[in-house]
Amino acid sequence: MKAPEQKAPRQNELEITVFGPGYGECIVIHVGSGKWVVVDSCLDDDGKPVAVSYLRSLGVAVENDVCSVSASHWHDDHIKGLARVVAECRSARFALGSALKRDEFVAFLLLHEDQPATIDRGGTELLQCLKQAKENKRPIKPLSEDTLVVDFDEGCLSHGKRVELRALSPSGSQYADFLRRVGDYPATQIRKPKTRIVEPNRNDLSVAMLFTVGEQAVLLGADLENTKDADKGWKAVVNSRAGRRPLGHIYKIPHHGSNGAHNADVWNKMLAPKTWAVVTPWTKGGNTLPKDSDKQRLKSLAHKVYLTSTKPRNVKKGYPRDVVKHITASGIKLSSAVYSGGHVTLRWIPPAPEPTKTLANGAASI
Amino acid sequence: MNSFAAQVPYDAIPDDTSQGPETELPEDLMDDYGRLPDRMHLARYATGESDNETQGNIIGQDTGEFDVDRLVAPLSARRPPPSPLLRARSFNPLMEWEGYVESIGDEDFVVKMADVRSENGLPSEMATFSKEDLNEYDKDLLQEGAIVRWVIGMERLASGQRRRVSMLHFRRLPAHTAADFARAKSKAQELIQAIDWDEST
Repeated sequence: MKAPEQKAPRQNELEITVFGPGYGECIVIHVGSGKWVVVDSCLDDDGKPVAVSYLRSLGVAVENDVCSVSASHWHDDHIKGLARVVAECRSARFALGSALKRDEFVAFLLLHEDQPATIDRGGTELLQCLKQAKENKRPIKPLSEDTLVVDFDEGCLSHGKRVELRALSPSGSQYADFLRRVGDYPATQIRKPKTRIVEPNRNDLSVAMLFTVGEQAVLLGADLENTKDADKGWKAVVNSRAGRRPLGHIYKIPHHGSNGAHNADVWNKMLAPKTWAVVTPWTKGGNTLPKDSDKQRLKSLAHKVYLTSTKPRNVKKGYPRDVVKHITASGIKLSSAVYSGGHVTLRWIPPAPEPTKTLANGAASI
Repeated sequence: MNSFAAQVPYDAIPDDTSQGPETELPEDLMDDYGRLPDRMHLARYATGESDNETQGNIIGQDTGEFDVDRLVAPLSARRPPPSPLLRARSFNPLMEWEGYVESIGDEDFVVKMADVRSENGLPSEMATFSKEDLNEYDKDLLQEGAIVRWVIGMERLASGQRRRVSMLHFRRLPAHTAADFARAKSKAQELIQAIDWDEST
């Protein structure tokens, strides 16, 4: 990835940068006074963790100045390169979803790891993080509803505001539901051939977070979706936040803008009227998000909407000529699973109501 | 002239001389274990040369004492260059991917895959294949998460003709066993217990 030509934010200036190269998502936040937070991880065009590349390009000493690294959930598109981010950000507190504390879930990951395939098995990165934490005796903070990930008291940072990053999900009910399912897993899989972990079409363990600075907030939607039950998904979050402030003025749209993650009450009760929204693209099985209908919906709800990347990479570029000829003649549809890594940066000095934006490497306004 | 040389044409010498030819051979031609000589030794016997004297290509030399060509033809004549029809088939892979089935539709399925030469094994491409192209065995293996290899390469046929081909191969990985689960659970417990979980709020 071409290093973004950006300067580091001022000490009292806040920044949220959302990376989304088509498959993967990562958020870095400048909380003030040169301190940074990283949520999730994805790779840049060179296969390196984008958070580390970006922060180093700004001149940030990641070893000392990143105070928190966390993963919203265990799916591939949120954790690639995480082990390296954690290793390089040596003084950061490391936080993962509570499921990683459960032996049933870790056994599930280990089971898939143990097979003769060269391709990533789906749990490889998280297992690497756990093993690294064990070897380096580095604590891990388990995340669930209302866990405080990071906090700075008033007056600690140069803008003088209190800062916190708080987990909003998963709810206790959702976590219990997950444990029941993962407990049943071995009985359903014995004598079935080994496979790679396939992301289930559910994101019920996703950790949505709220980053607050004084009376302003950024809602990080992760991949949290809606469920029928009032005590799970976005309904549970809206209920638990009822009447609480501050309202979000920036929204990292959940689950790549999908309709299943849209909750009208989030817009009505948790966000300010002129919300700036950032969405990351995603692709699975030839389907992409956000769909055109999702973009229309987001445009109708948000004051501004930005997409982190719009350009799929040309995968055939490096192939031998005979290979390209064969693919063309065979009718096999081949497409890129990754876009060129783009990002959206929003900066503001509190309590300024509107941030300034920078769109890089293919990021665009919707 | 050695009478044997005249009596045993090349074609009559069996490949496996231990089985013994139908023609009776002199006893001194056999070794200490009663085994019959190979073709090279027969040729040397016919020319009267010892093993030490017969370096290099002796097959087909005419000593003047007898017509050795009646016993053994020159190598070039005995083993003509293989006919193009008999050449071995070969396959030269140009690109190879490993991936997994990410989704299955009514008529096709999508494989998410990585170039096997990539260092990180992270999928960067997606290919959509028709279910019709699968053989019956592979159809049984088609499920989400199934691990596959896709190779595109140049195949040289026995006739010498070259053609581009691609092969999609479903890897037949072993099934999960109860012991696998027990082992994974034990390792998981060990790993989790060794980690310092920060429960502070």
